[in-house]
Amino acid sequence: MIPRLEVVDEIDGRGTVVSLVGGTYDGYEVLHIPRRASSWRGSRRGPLRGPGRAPADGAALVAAMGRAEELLVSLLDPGQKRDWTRHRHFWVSTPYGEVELGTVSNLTFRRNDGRSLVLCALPEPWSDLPDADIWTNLLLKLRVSPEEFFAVANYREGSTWRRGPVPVVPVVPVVPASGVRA
Amino acid sequence: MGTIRILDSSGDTAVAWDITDTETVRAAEELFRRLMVTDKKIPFARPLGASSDTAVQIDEFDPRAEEILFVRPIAGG
Repeated sequence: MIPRLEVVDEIDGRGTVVSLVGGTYDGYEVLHIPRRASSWRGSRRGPLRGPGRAPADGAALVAAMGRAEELLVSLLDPGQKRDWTRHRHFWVSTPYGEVELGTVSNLTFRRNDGRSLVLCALPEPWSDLPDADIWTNLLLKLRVSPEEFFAVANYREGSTWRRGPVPVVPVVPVVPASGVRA
Repeated sequence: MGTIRILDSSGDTAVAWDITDTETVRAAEELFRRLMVTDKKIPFARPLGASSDTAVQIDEFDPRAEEILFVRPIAGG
């Protein structure tokens, strides 16, 4: 069944919050972002919210998104801030490689050995959180306890998703060339 | 003055304490314990407004902390 869409609110510069009526996701609210204004990739183009858990009105939703955005930006370094402002994604360095945050369920992981994987990890529960809060949650785990992040994230290389832990390459310390003879 | 910020559907909910006011410190400590033990949320402390590079995961309430962010456990999606 194709759901009917009801406009809930217009958000300047972001898009339109619509409520899905009927179908599998009846009651969910989705932020519809016009293609020209969107830098989202992957399957999710805006926040999906479970029925009854999102702020009840558009103004509260906008306030929540703004507050989450302010918190996330305050945690970013200058390079991450620039990327987030321009492209709505940013990279997080870990001892095992870099992870790109910005598209739900589709986090690019560039391992130290050059291999690239796609990861999926989310706060539990996540559906009531503004998107920026999801990134704040994942950013802190990646920066402070990356081992825990990689232990639970699911991943794919190619088309098949696999349960975590994500295969990571151990960090090899740089050994001084003490054995080199002059 | 310190603040606990709990990520939620409103962005976050903030609860402040004043280190010179034992009542607010006690209330913040109780909240900290409940969020961590009962709600299984994860606390990170950082100097106010500092980037994630300076954040540390903590397991006890520190009244000298400037800001404590409570996030959720993560799971494979």
